[in-house]
Amino acid sequence: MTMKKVIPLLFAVLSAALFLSGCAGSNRQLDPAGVYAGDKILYTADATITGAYETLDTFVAWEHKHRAGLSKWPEVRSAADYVRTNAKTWIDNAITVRELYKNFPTPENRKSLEGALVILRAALDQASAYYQSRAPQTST
Amino acid sequence: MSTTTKSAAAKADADAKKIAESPLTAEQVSAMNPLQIIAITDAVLDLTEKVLSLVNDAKKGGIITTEQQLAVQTKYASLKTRADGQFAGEHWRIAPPASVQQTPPAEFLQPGQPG
Repeated sequence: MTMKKVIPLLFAVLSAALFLSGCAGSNRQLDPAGVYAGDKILYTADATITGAYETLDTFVAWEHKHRAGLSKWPEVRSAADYVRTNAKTWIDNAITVRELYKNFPTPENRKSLEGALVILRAALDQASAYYQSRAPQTST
Repeated sequence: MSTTTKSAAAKADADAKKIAESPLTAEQVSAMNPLQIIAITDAVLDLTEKVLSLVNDAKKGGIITTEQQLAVQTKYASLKTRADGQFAGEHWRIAPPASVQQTPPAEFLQPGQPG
């Protein structure tokens, strides 16, 4: 049972960390003299993308470090491998759209960027859902 | 603070509380080996610390300074160019399952055996 309850909780915490990393500055103004020149969208995008990487990196590093101890729950490794397989694509897609917005800051590209960030935040929920689908239904 | 930030902060607080209060019976704890206990405790502490620091950031008001902006931009540039070996560490590699039979090194192959 324990891990069955703890792992989704870890994902929830990771998800919250990812969300917060993106909105940590949502009620704060950018110093216009900074490198973002007051462009809050771009700042939020970069904070979310780097926060997403750090969050996913934390999870796979944790699983790798404690693999022996976690071997009783193969679904944890499956979920980590799922992240290992897809994380690069999730991050790279967000980077591509972010670059497009940076070079051509049109309303359409801004909308695409916001959509990409939502997808990135949803990726962790997807990893969590993947874990749930692999977890045995019986208590362990 | 915006409503979404407030609700995310509240959610993170609740998650952290949930972790702290997650009831483990003596039976469940004794059924776990020390490695498992260390793994879980380690992860929970690391993540809770990370979330709490983000909650604190989210609660802060004021201006995002030029230094803070530069730090985010530097991190982003590093990730974009993989300058710090992002995705390249051992922990990002998918290892084959332990049960998969590996091809033995050439010196262990019998003559005529396919390698």
